[in-house]
Amino acid sequence: MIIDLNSVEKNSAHKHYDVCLCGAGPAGITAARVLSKQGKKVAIFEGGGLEYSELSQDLYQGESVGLQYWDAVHSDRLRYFGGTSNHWSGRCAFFDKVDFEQRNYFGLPGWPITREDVFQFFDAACSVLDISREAFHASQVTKWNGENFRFSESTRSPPTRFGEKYYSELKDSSNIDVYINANLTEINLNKDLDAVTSFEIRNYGNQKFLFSAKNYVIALGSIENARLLLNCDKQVPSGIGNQSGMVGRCFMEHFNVGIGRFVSDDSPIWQQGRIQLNPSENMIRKLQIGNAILDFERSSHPISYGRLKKLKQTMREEVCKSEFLTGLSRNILDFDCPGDGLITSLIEQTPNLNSRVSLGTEKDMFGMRRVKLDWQANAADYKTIRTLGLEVAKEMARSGAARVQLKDFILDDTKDISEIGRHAHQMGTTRMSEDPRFGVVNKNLQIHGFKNIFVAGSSVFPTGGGANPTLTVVMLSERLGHHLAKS
Amino acid sequence: MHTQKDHRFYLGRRNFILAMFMYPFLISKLMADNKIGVGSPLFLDEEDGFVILGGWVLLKDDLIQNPD
Repeated sequence: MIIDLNSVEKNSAHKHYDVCLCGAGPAGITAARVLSKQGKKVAIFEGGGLEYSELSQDLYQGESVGLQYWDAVHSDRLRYFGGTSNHWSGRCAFFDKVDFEQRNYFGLPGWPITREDVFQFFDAACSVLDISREAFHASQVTKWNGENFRFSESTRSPPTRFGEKYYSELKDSSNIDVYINANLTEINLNKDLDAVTSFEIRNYGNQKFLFSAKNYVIALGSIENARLLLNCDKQVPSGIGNQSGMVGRCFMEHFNVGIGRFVSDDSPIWQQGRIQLNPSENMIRKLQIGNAILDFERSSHPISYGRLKKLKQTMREEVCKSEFLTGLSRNILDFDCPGDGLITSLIEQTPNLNSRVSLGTEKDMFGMRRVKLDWQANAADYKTIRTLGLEVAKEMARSGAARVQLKDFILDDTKDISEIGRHAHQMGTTRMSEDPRFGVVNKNLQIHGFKNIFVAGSSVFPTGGGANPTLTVVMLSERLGHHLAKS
Repeated sequence: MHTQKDHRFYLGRRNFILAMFMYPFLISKLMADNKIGVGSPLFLDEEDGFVILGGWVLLKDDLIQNPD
């Protein structure tokens, strides 16, 4: 059933559920569907409506004080039914074995669970995301000729828009009630401060409703999960789950850094015009760096010089001798130089205590403090960026597939890496660790020190890996759903 | 990351022609920057059998060291 809380009379919505779950994005909907199939009664609370609205989206407004995040604090996330899947690109990729290992050079504990613990839910996640196991293997049509890198295995979801795909199923479900325009504004605790007694939910008329359950889940995304827990300071002044000061810490993104440019040969690997490489797991361990995807995209294929095109191509060659004119032609005239291309990247950042979500001073319409994001990179991150840039350039030269011109900040570590972008992959802030000093949730995604509240989504990632996070988020949510169903 | 040494490399005529064929943009770019020319001495960064020239990461085999 889908219930618009804006249309519900005050105090008429008291119900008791097996699980109260906040957030109707990929993590929340996936966990709720698992629970429903196991016969559990679930309430999903979605702060937005069925469609985008400025009123709801405004609650994501905040400030960014670290690395440039522009307006992404507000715009990368979508606050309505289906969540950020409503503008997801659909790329699905694996986290590698090395991503789950304890990499001591990162300075904080890694994943307390194994890759196998997560991947037992791979087939279920494929079904949720409309992808197939076989499609991953099909993405590797040839083998990369080199030791230090490998072709990136990935596939694309249509992409699955969770709100659209699962609307009818949720609406018709006898086990799931979806409340829209339902904003979680307080988490009420028992006297011992070790269990949740109710979720306080408000509609846009600021009317208050209380919902209770055996177990509670927040699945609001990395920024909002932390913001909510920090704002719930009525009974616990430092915020719920923040006894070690870890809520909001270790906010991670994937760095999007332009490594340089390349000129390619005419070998078959360039037939698609683009190749994506991961560093080998051995090289990651040996050089003590993060994981990544290095993305080589050719602007154009090498040209066959025909007689009729000679004049045009001669002009093109002349233009391509000048870096300035090349840039101009690429960006303005859509006129590429033969065989050249740009190298972009998706690079794992280290879990960094100083990279964090905290609360600003301004408040939203519900009186909750808005988010302050301080995204930071550190020396280990710069080492990963520079090392991967140089190593992939050498690998390309060895293979003969291309020659790479690196940006000056790759080769000269006295130059700042100022051109760090993001991938809208927000991770960390309620990281998973068996030791409460280094995390917010345990390996079952249960908040340390609390009996019945759990966190879903990429905020629990202890490290960010070198792959897009959605597939892993869905597998973890499947796992959480099964764990809660058993309990 | 790499050491800057005063190595003198010369681009051999045969490799120059091959390079022009395979990497026209690279070579023309380097020539435009006055960083490369047939018979010209070059000041290069070197590491592990690679030559770094104007930010380009090349194999030593891309160039031929002057026998002198």
